[in-house]
Amino acid sequence: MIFKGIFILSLFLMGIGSWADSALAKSKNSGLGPLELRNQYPVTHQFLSLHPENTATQKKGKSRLSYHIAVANTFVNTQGHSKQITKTELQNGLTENDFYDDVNWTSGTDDKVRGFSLYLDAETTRHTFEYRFGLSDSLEFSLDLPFLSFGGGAMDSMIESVHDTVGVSNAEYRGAFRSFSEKNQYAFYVVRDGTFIFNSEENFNMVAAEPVIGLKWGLSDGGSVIPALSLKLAYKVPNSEREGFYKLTRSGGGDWGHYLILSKGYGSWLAYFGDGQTQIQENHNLAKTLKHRFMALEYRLSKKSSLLIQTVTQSSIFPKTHELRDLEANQEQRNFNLVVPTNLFMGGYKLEWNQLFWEMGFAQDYANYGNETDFVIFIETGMQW
Amino acid sequence: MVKFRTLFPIHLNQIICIGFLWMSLTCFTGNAYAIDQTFSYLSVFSGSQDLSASPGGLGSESNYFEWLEESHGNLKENRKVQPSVIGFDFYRASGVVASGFGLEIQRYKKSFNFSDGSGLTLEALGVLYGFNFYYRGDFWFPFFGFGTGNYSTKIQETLYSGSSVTETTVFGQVDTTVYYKLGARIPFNSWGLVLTQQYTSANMEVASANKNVALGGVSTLFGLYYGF
Repeated sequence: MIFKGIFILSLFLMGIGSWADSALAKSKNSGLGPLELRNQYPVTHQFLSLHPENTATQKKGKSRLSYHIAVANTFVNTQGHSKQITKTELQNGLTENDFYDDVNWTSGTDDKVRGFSLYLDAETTRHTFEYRFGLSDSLEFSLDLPFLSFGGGAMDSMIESVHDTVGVSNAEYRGAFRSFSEKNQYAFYVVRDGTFIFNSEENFNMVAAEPVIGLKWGLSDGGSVIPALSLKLAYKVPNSEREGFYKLTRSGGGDWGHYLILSKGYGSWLAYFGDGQTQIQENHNLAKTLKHRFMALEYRLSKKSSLLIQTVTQSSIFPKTHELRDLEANQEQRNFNLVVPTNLFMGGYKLEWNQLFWEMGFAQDYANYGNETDFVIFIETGMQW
Repeated sequence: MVKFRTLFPIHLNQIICIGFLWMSLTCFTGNAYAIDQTFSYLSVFSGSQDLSASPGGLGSESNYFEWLEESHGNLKENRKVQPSVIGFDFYRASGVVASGFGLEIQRYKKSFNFSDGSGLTLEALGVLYGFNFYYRGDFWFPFFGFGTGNYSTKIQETLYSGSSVTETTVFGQVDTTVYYKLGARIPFNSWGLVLTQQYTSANMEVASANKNVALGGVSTLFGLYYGF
């Protein structure tokens, strides 16, 4: 309530802030836009997840077709502290018992760890073919067709080398206990209250995920004081075929979400801010909602190229199942950080050349709670006419 | 991957001292400062942040420390921390007024002890951003700003109860942060001094106790900036 009050008050202050009007004259309020990267955490791929966007929409009758590829490396071993899961256990095949607590004051089913436990060693690639069309000068239709590949990938060596270079041990928490596992292998285990939700070591390539349709309404281009404002609505069309590895690519639910986006220009600099939420229809024992927020800064090198940095905050895909004070002071408490919202830092570059455009960048999880991808690189290219 | 704070250790006091010396040596030899349409500031600050202070009408729901004091005795330290802050701002100016957007990354860490020997360590990393409005005077630029952001926090508790001890590590995040600030920049060519008083509401529920801790409060910061 406080936040909403301040927000409304801020808009009011900006509205009556005519004293600053002359300082902001002729400042364009949207540039090439923020980096458009959705959440790439392997557990989240099957759900709708809104991403940062520009406030500007396609003009009436104009089209934009693009191909977006994002490669994400994720490694989480919640059993790393106790060394319960290493190369040996993985070679023997993981069972639910491997995720039980190893303390000696419990036994049998009391060893079950309440809450979530993970062993995720995956490199995921999300290919998205995206089409946008201007229904009017301020209303844009979009269609996204995603395809997913899950496997061992090739980035583990590079990431572990970076850790070594900056003095982070791959045998400790900060290095995610990476050295206990083989490089470039694939394993996807998610456990809730001692029972598998997902358990798979089957690679797959270019599997169709569920399409997403969207509408973006440019509410205002803003002015010399007021920021530009847009509302994005998105809906994921459900596909109920979820056998085998399709469980990791499709939720089978009609998720929907919204993003309210503001942007304001100051000469060569632009600032973007967005706040939104996704409602998950079929959550499969995971979160029912995802909250999103981003802030992006764009520096226009020229009219057709920009550098960008942005921070993205998102609530965890893992819901809180128990109060922390009810959990035992061992693995259960350590795993509690999986439910905490997390943050990403992104950096990138955008370029337009005649009808063609190009976007590239990276994302880095700096909160390090185990509920986000470690590292993502992405490229988008396409044309508009 | 690697924690952000691991990659960028901040020795802010040293930076401010060296920066002040560098500014003193260069302020009379630099080019005259030109008022342009758009300009940017890179700043480093430090100072005092009182987590227990009411953030100037923004609302605070802090009861975590009070709850611990009921069980573990009085807190031995005050609840002031010394944040290290890096800020980046850009503005569009015309004449004597300017308006822009700013980003601040701040970090602090402090240990607190209670009279029964219990204690905790509070560590926070904040990313704050928002709008700033300036008046560009002859010798100083007073400003007002407001915005939002988030804090990521780690609290390590060591709490005694009779002969037993409970150790808990709590991670948390607060996304509903709001702040406003008042301050002034005093330019010396491209370099300058900056003073600011910031009121921040950032209340986080500590999961181990289901009580709220205030991560914002009132901060009084002093620092250096470089304009370009």
